[in-house]
Amino acid sequence: MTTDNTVAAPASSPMPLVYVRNVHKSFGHLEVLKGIDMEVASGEVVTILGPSGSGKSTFLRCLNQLEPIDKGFIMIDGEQAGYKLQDGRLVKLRAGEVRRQRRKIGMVFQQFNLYSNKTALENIIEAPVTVHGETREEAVAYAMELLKKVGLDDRADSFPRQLSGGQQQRVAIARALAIKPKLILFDEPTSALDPELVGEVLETMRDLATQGLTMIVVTHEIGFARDAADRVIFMDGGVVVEEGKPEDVLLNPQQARTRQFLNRFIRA
Amino acid sequence: MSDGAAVTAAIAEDDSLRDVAHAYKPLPIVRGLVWLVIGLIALKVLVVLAQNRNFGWGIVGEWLTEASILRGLWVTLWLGVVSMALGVVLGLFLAIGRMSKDVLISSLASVYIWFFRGTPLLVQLIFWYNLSYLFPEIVIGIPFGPTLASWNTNDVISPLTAAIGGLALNEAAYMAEVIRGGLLSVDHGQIEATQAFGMSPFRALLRVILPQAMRAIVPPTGNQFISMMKSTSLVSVIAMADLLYSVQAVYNRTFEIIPMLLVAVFYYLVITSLLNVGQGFIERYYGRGERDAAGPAKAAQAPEG
Ligand SMILES: Nc1ncnc2c1ncn2[C@@H]1O[C@H](COP(=O)(O)OP(=O)(O)OP(=O)(O)O)[C@@H](O)[C@H]1O
Ligand SMILES: [Mg+2]
Repeated sequence: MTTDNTVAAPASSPMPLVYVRNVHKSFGHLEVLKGIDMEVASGEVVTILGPSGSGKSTFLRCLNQLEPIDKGFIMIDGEQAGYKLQDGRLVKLRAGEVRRQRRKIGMVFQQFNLYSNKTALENIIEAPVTVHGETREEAVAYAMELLKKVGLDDRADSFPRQLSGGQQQRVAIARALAIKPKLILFDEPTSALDPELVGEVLETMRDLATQGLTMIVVTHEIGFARDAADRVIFMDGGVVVEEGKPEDVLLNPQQARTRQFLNRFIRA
Repeated sequence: MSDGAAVTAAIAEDDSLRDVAHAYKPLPIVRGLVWLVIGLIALKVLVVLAQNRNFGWGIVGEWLTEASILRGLWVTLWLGVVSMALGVVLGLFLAIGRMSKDVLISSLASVYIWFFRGTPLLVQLIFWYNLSYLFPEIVIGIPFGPTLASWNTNDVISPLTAAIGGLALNEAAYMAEVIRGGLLSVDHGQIEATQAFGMSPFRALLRVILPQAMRAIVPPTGNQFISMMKSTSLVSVIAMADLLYSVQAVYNRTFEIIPMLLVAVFYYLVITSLLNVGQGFIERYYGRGERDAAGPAKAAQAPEG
């Protein structure tokens, strides 16, 4: 069954962790993604830049199957997201199998979305205990380690409302790390923060970037893209316009649309 | 320049006087008048209550602890509590059903709520009590298939089962809407987070969504519970010996209608007061995550602000 589900890796290069081909997504008549191709290797840190409304959030949500896609396909860790090949036919997965696939992916939201009825520690151990079947002791021990890593081990028993935005987002990052994900998705993790709190969250993310985690980060923080990313992808109008090494895309963009977008930041 | 300095000096002289911590309050004239008038009226009411012998306070005192009355009180208490508990559980299922994407399930829940909210509780109670006219036998079996078990309706539907069934089924319709309102009040981002982390809908409901919805669910549920305790008095029409029925049984013999009703009023007020206190505790529990931490959180943020 599982062998059906994995795609044989090409002989020369190993299958990338994320492999996206010709993904289309519409909301009603509005086509938001118009054929996205993307590959992300294991351990790679990729930032996605692009103007508002270009479909960045929608794309991340498709990767985690929070939105269904209309056309194309997404492979994550050798499995097709939401579908499987069975007897030469492509079959939609059941809800339980979709949940199993999602468990490999951590997600950090723009609005944090920490469970407001749970303390910081409870937020972090929730998925490991109830979804991944870890014992409470293991989960708490690892959660405290993660809280220390994001500099909040003294706030383990605080409820989200009692934390600043930056602290909440750091807890949310710890929550995403707690499930030992193969891939972490960040959707504008600093956009809802007061300017003086952005630094602490970016600092935490820079740390992660150096530790071999696979990260896809949608952000407007050009500085983070420049310093921490292995690759920058520029999206506009539902397509990937340009991608490459940060220094190439940011300093020497080939496409007019990329230049236009970056100019706004340079002027600002 | 020198003008400014003079003014500053003048203000400095008053500095100690101007500290608001030592200010006097003006006499609250209007408020005092209101209190006086209300106090007088209250006093008059008390005098009237005490002097009018028709209230029969002595009789009230005598019957307050009478065995038949206490038995009736006990029936009212557990009938209300059991019916409410069943109503809440069934209401939760109905609420989830109404929010279901499945058209069949959501319409079934809607029809249930429409019917049980749309007809008087008294009519429903009498209906359940007289169910045997419609269906002399109650049968459990596979539709159009074999019968698994059957009972004589009159053996199953006693005043007790008719009362519990009637009250609980009716309550469920109201609780369904209360709970649905609570579930809808939970921020969508919370639900999305549970999905993103691979939680099953059931687990998400139990561990994240329902606990947050409780803040919106508890106050109207307190209302419902109080209303339920009073609705139990309706079961006296189907010969269920609740508090009101026991009181009526006495005044039908003694004709001391007002004192006996006061006995019932006393106990209904005691029950609803206790429910109010309980509600306060539950609200505080579910308000935990909302409470502003005066302590560590503020202290940690202080340097920035
Ligand atoms: N659930 C939805 N229903 C209808 N339209 C949607 C929905 N979600 C997104 N859209 C539309 O899709 C387009 C792309 O939205 P998306 O949130 O992906 O953009 P974005 O690149 O993340 O923008 P931003 O930088 O502002 O976050 C927008 O025009 C938006 O209005
Ligand atoms: Mg977005």
